[in-house]
Amino acid sequence: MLRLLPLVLIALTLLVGCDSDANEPDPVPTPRLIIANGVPDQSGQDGSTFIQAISLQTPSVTNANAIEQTFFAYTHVRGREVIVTQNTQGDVATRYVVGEDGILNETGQLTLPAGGFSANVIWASDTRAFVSLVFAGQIIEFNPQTMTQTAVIDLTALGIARNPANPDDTNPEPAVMLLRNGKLYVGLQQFFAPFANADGVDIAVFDANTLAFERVISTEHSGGPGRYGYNQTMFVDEAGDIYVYCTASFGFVPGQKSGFLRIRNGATEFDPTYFLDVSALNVPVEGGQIGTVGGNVVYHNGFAYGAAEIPAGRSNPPDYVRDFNWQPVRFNLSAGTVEVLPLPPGNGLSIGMELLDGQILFGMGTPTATGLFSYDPATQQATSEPIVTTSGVPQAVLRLDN
Amino acid sequence: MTIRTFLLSFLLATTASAQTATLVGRVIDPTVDGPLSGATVTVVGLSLGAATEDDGTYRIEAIPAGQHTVRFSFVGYVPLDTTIVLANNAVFRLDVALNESEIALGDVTVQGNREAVAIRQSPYAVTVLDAQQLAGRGLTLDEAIARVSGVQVRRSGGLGSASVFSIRGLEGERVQVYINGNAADLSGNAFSLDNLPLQLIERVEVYKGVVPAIFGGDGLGSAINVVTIHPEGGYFDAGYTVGSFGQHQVALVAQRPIASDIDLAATLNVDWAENDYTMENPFRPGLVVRRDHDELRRVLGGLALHLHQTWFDELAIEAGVVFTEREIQGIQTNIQHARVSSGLGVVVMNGVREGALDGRLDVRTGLVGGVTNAALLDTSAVRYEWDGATRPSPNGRGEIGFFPSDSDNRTALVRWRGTATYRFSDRHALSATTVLDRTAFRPSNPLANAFAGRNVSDNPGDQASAVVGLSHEWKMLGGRLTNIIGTRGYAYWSEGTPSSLFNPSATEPEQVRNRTFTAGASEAIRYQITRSILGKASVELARRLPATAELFGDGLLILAAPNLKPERAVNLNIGVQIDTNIGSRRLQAEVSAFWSRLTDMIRLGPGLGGTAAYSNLGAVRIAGVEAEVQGDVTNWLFARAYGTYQDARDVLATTPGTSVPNPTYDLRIPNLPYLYGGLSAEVYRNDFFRKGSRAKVFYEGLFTEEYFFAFEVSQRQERRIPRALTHTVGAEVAWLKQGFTIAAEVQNITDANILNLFNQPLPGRALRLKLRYTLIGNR
Repeated sequence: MLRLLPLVLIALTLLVGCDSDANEPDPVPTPRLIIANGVPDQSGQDGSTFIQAISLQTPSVTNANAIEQTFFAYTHVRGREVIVTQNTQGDVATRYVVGEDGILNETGQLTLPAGGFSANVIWASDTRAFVSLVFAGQIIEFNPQTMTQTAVIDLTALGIARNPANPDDTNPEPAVMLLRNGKLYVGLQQFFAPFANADGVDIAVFDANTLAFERVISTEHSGGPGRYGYNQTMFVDEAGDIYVYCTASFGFVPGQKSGFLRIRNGATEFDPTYFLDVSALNVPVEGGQIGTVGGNVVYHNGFAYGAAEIPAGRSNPPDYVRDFNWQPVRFNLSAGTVEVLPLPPGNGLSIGMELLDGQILFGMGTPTATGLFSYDPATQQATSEPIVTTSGVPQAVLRLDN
Repeated sequence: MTIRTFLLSFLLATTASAQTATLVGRVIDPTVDGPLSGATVTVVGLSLGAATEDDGTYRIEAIPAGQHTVRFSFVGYVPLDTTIVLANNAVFRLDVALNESEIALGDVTVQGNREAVAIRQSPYAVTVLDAQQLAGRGLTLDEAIARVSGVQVRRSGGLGSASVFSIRGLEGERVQVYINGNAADLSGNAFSLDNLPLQLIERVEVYKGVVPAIFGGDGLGSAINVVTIHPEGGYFDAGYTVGSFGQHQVALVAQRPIASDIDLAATLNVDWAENDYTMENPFRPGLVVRRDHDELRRVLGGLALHLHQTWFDELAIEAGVVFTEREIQGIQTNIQHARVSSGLGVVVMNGVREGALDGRLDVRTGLVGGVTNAALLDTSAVRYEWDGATRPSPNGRGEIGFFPSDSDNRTALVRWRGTATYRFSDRHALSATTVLDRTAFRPSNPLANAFAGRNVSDNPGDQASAVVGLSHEWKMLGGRLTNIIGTRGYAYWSEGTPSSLFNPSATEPEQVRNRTFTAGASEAIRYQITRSILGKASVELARRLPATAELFGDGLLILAAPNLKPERAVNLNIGVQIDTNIGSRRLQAEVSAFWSRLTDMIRLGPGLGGTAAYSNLGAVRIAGVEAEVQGDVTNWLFARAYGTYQDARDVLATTPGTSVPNPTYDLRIPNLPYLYGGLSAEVYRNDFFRKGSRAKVFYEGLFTEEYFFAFEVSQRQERRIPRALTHTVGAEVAWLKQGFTIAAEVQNITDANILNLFNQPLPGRALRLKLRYTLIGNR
């Protein structure tokens, strides 16, 4: 018997060595949105982000069709193009195209500077796009059709960094971008510590065609223009005015105020008369005062929609899974007021939101459901249940256009 | 019984009745002058034999008269053949002494060592690695431990790199590591098990599911206890290992009597390694790079006095230092300057007294005092791309993280452990263990503080704990049934001052305190089904106290979470163990099934703006089976195979704090191997080229099935840790009564691309050569 032992073991080794084929994804009829959610591993320190196209016709979706990306990857959409950047977890930007069957098909990759913290992507045309690299202090221009680099803007050489503690810091940490009237507006995070913004707000302006640096638009109000990874936080209203929501270190640095700043159409400076300090506003929920609108905002018809964090409902330390203290609200940008939307408060993962067919969609996690909740600005009514239930909180919700 | 066997038996019996003799006698172990129970006595060429009784005696009847060769064998002992002539109707007495084997009997778990055998046969689910059997090879201690069934050692790089022990699905803080019974957690990054040369190690006990109460630490039911050698008298052992990627290791162990009852021992271990292997860079598709900033320099030195004539039977006073300098290898970026250094000084006093109070009381005590410092030096103004380009560090200086560093983090610890075992009778024994410890952590990093413009690092912490364990051992049915029931109580206090920089709930540094009182219990039973077969079963309610880093955070992005509860686990284990001889061939086999349910698991919660905090968020169920078989295939071939299947699942039905179905419910826990094992074979020959020499040629295959990096929620998941199958071949030759040993081996002979931590490529094919000289004086 013992003589047979090696043979038995070799056979067992071969037996467990059989490959299994991956399954094919299921078609998605009439894909309307891209959603992404992060699924942490058992340590909570890592995991993956799952990104997929969904239809509004399916009341409940899982992640079974999703492509897998790095934890905290950022998703950007133009038409049916999807580009995913890998945050600090990787250095490859990957382009996908949503096929007629609603499946994301990879069409190319662009390798970016190592450890550069690739954040936001913005398209100038079918063949020109920009990606911001927060830790590299660069913006790379690339051709999304071929996923090849075409130019580099190095912001570390422009002398526009501000770090109160450290003059050696030459990196202004570019992140959120907006293209308007041939100009590329870049929100500078100006970190002095990990994800903590220095006081004051800087927007660098470049000629979008020549990539020449033109100026920095600055103010000492607030800090941290825009949410890295989410370009919706810098937007243009019907009058052509640019608004930027400033996260102010998500409320973690005492004394900083988060809120909206404005650059008038045609102006080259911030509107000195305008700062909508959201932390000074009260909403009629328990605890009242808003801490931050740290996640994301969506603009529509004079209102900025977002989820306001109410510090009164926050644990110590904050629990972004079990604290349901993120209340959907809308800010009247001209009146400087805030209204509570008739939606339940969500947890801290509720940051995905999008405008679709005149409705504001909120990706939310509530005590009883996760998924897409809908608010109709015309009727000021909201759904009490998700219109699409998702498996995990969708932290990115982005519209697909044909 | 088949008809053929019956007929043969009948014929033999008939013959015996005609002209037979009887053989009786006793088999002893001369080193302890005691009986050897269970040894096999066979009459070569005949189907006659017996196993020795508890008192070592045996009796074989109906042996045909005439000349015979009688073979005595036992696991871990040198077989002995004796020729006898039996007269008709005679009763022939033959007493023999079997010596413990000094030849390699396989790398793992075949022990001649009596204490190791006793531990293996205890009611606990435990595997014992005989480190001395591997000491001739150029392996590090953690590489050796990786050969234990149910254990994975997950490494991030070459010699000196970070490694994580995984036992039946439990990892990191959930696995306790002890050295000679003392918890080895005093030093943070200043010490890892591969600091210890194998030559200094007698054995490694790996407990799976239940940790004996006498260890007195917390943990979730799995532990590794490293037992160092304790030779008596003069002893000298020198080894030098040279390996691929610029690896060199020198290990010296020496001991000499300086008085009639005092031995002085010293050890010196020097490691240096370039670790400059090539790797496919996981962050940059298609890029193959050679690691060039992974150098290790490490020195371990120790002195010990072993006193034999005090109130203790043996009192050991030991002092050791470890100094380490290690460059940090970048994977995502090409780190060129950052390095860590650490120093550790420790004094240990261990005393053992057995048989006090008329042989009823055993006492063991240990006192450990240690100081460590760990430093990260990271001041580069630029970061490096893999193509050689540079760019400014994000915050001005530093290649890692956000701030530059010139840290000096100091830890001081005092720990006392006392264990008393009182035997009321041969059947009942009660053990009590108390462990008291006090630790102070004093970090300092003025450079980081200067660059942050505020204190981001100098956050001191203090902790103290008291653990009391009680266990009762009850032997029944003439020793065939052994039951150990135990309980442990924990009292834990910690206090710290984490930075409040990113804590929105406070504007000033806050004092954080945690007090925890909790308890655990265990029950283990062993039943000797036959002389060769043991059945074991155990259950434990285990607790793991929150680690300091989990309670206090890192003062930066990880926020303090002072209200964490201890993790809780219920572990079940049932198994069968076989130790037998088939003729003169040895066979050991073990099959175990295990089940664990972990609740209140501490994991990092999601955060905002890069911040996060630990929370009691998880619940996991692990079920699995483990099997191991080893033995002599022929007189010259030894083979071993083992495998573990562990199915760990998320068992939180709903997302914490909600009624929402948990999207990962019942899915396999990711980034954790679930199927792995190994296969080894050794061909050995004694008196290979001269009397007293031996030679061994060996093969080892290690296998880990592919597993997912994240929860498997999609049909399109691509992030996986690929299947790993490595083959190692080598040879070892010893001569001058095993005094000289030369061993050479080629690891990963197919140069397979191996990872066991995601995005952390391991070395490919590697050659190691070890020279060793051992001189044993009067014992």
